[in-house]
Amino acid sequence: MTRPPSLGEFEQVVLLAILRLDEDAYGVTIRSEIAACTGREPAPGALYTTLDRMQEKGIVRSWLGDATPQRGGRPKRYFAVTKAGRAALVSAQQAYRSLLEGLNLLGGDHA
Amino acid sequence: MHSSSIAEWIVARFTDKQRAVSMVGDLVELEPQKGLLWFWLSLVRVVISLAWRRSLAFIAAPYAGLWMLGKLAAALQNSYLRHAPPGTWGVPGNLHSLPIVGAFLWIMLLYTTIQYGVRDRLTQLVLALVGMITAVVYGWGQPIALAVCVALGVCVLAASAIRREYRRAVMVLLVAWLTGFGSWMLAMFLAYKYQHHVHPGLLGDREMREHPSIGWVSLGLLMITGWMITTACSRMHHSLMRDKQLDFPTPQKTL
Repeated sequence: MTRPPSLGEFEQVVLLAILRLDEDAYGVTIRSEIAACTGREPAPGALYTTLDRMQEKGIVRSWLGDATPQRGGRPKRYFAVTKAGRAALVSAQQAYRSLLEGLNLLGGDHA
Repeated sequence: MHSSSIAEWIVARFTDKQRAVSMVGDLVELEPQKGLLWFWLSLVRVVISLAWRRSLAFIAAPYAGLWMLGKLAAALQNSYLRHAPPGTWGVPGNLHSLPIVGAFLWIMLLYTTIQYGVRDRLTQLVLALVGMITAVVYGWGQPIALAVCVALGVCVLAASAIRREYRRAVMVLLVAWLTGFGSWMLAMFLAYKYQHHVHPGLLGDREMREHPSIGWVSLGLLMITGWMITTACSRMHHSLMRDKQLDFPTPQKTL
């Protein structure tokens, strides 16, 4: 069995945002979802290069939607997480969970 | 031309047309809320993030190649003269091409490492060949080193022929190298012509000091050779090695 590709922190954030958005994940919605959940708006350049890099790694896939007038007739580029991407995310989150075990950070003792 | 069309044209210089269109579309969608200044500032940030690697590679690779050319030529000279018969002066013409081949590969290595990263097939192939040719130059006088490097080189090329990604990498490498070789020959010819135009006859230290333009013109031509190699590398990589399946015209469920 091959090991899932390792993910950086921002890659995990982007993947989670795509999963939350389901079929409506494109540049604008991914940015606003990240901003709404984390309180930080990612730089557009960082987001696009991260999405491209993840697509090259086979973690996400993309396709072009229909052209819309509010975008000057330009299509949206939608993103979805692939099976490999989901496996990588699960692996990364399990690692976090293992590290958090026994710390009770979310429970408030150390918060 | 509308400002968003200009923006699209700018972004398309650094990525493919489809990506450029969708990126600018995202900015256009947000422009009514965030304003025109935000639109252009965001565009600059997008362009910087798309272009910094290529710009750095484009500048650093030819400089590193020239530096390595000097290093390899000096190493070969030392290695050759140590093993040559007494009284021999200089390295024979055929051997002279070894540092040049090595420098071309070093230019490609630096360019591909910065631009595409070490996971890229072309970078891996060039890295293997650079290692071998550098070992050949430094260990030229030792038949064992020479034989091992030649055998490894043949193995690497044979193994590359089996897998499709590496076959394409070999094609990119060959075209970039041939472009470099052609540019090198042209650069040498033009430098020679310029030198004879400025100072017919043999060049020594004194003549070089009197006519510094000879050195600058030669350096400029060599830098152009480096840029020709990186440009050929970039274009061929884009047309042969970029995954054409990255963009799907319609959604395809894989989850």
